[in-house]
Amino acid sequence: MSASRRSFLASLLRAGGALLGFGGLLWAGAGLMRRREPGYPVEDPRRRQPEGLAREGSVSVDASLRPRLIRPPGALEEPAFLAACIRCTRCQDACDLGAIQYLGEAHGAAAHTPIVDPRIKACNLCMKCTQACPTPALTPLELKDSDRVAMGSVALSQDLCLSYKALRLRDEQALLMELGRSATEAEAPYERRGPCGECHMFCPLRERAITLEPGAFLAPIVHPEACVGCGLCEQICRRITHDRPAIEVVPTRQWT
Amino acid sequence: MNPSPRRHRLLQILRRCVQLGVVLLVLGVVFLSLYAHYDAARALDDVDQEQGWRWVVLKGIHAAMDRVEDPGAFLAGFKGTLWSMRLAGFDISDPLAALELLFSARSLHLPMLVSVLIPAAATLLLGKLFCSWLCPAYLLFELSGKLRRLLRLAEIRPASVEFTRWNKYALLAVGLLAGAALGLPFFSLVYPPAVLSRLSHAWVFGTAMTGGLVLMGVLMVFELLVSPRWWCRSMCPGGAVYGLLGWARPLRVVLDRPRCDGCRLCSPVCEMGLDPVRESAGLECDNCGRCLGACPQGALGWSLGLPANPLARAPGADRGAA
Repeated sequence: MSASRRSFLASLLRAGGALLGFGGLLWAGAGLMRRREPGYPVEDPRRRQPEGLAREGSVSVDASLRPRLIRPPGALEEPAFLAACIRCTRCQDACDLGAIQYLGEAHGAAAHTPIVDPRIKACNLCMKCTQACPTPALTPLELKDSDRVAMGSVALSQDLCLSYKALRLRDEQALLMELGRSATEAEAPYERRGPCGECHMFCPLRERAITLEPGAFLAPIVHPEACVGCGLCEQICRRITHDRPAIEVVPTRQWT
Repeated sequence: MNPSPRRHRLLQILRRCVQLGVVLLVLGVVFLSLYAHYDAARALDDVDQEQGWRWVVLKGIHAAMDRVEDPGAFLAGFKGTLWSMRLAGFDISDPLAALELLFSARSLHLPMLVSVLIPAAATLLLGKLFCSWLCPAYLLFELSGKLRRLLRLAEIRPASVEFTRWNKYALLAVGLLAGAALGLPFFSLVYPPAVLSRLSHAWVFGTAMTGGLVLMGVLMVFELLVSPRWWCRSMCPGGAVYGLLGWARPLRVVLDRPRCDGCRLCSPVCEMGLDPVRESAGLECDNCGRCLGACPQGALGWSLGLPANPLARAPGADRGAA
């Protein structure tokens, strides 16, 4: 076997290897581009925007498809946060709950920065993300520092709240009885007529951010000044009301 | 003939293994994070029922976790990507990330500085070893370079435009200043190892990745058709940082002048497009060691020791070329 022939065969072999490698790469790339159902946690929060979400009566969520700008605990103010976050994914890795999502590439300068979207998963203030962050973007916090968090505050719609509905139903029934008519004429506008109070149960700052109106069917009273915006109340309210929440997080920062 | 070509070939095989190992390590760390999430969500109780490629890996981790004493602490020790990673409890960040943070956030952040100690110290001693031995983008671009040979075999002659190597220092300066002016860590979004490791994270976690794929694809096609190894040779700001850090590295490639017969066979194999006879001591050499195996005289070798002047041209370089 002559030397030139051998070298030709060797280069053919190498070329074949490279072709195989590049073909594999193309194949993998093509496979990635036509992605199937994303795994957990999901891609772009905008994808998980619940369909047919009733907007009337719901507080604070703007009509656009953008998620609210709710940053993880301990986040710097907005322009400083974008400058300090190096998009390294460590906060998402540290979040065992899967509450931290990344903004999609459509968000431009804010792409790949972390947010918490209570429509998907609320934060439980475990503070692991703040300890994982290698930059000043998230100030390290301890579990006991929950009242130093400023992700947002809270707003309640009494129109949508099940407890307030129950309260109104009781008043209506009392009125009907007074008029000598049947109480069953009062129709509950929602299939669940009983009082709820779950937001109060789930609030990590219970009796500070959410209190109960005494003697009134577990009707919650929110205290936005004490609330840190973790979103656990909104999360459970969404589950109970099939995505027509009465209580929602109002972010401390706005999209610019 | 080369007295020990086998040793040099083994070194290159070792380098390839290390490169692939880094890719697997990055993917592995992401999978450990995913596993921690699933574990916290109690999603692993019926692990045998699950289908799909993610679950194949997760089942493997699940089986291995039985032998780990404290799975929670173990899992907490592996987080992040190559841009900034917690590896077996050690925080490791790219020096470029720390430099960029210094400019864009205008703050000296102590944990960040501590986390670049290990890579910075390694670069001071061993030079741009990150580039040639660890960087996944370098591996990808090497593949792109190999593909040019394939094009030539198909009688297509790709262009070989050469750009000056000083571009990367200019890009580094411009990027840092623009980052400071705009308040945005610009390199975090475009630096290929950061993009690639974020892509691997996005791949496993199922998050957005189109922009990163397009960026890497454009770079690869540009290198394939226009300028070989364009990014690493002339553009990479990370390479610039590592090059400057490794300015006075003790480990470098040296030429045994009397043995060199000026055949220049070492020059075409150099990944950085250097002429090892003249430039192996400079800023650009990343100690990949490919030129060592290419020398038929065995005139190129490793040296451990401080050079008098790293930027000086080797004396008698012209004689070697003659």
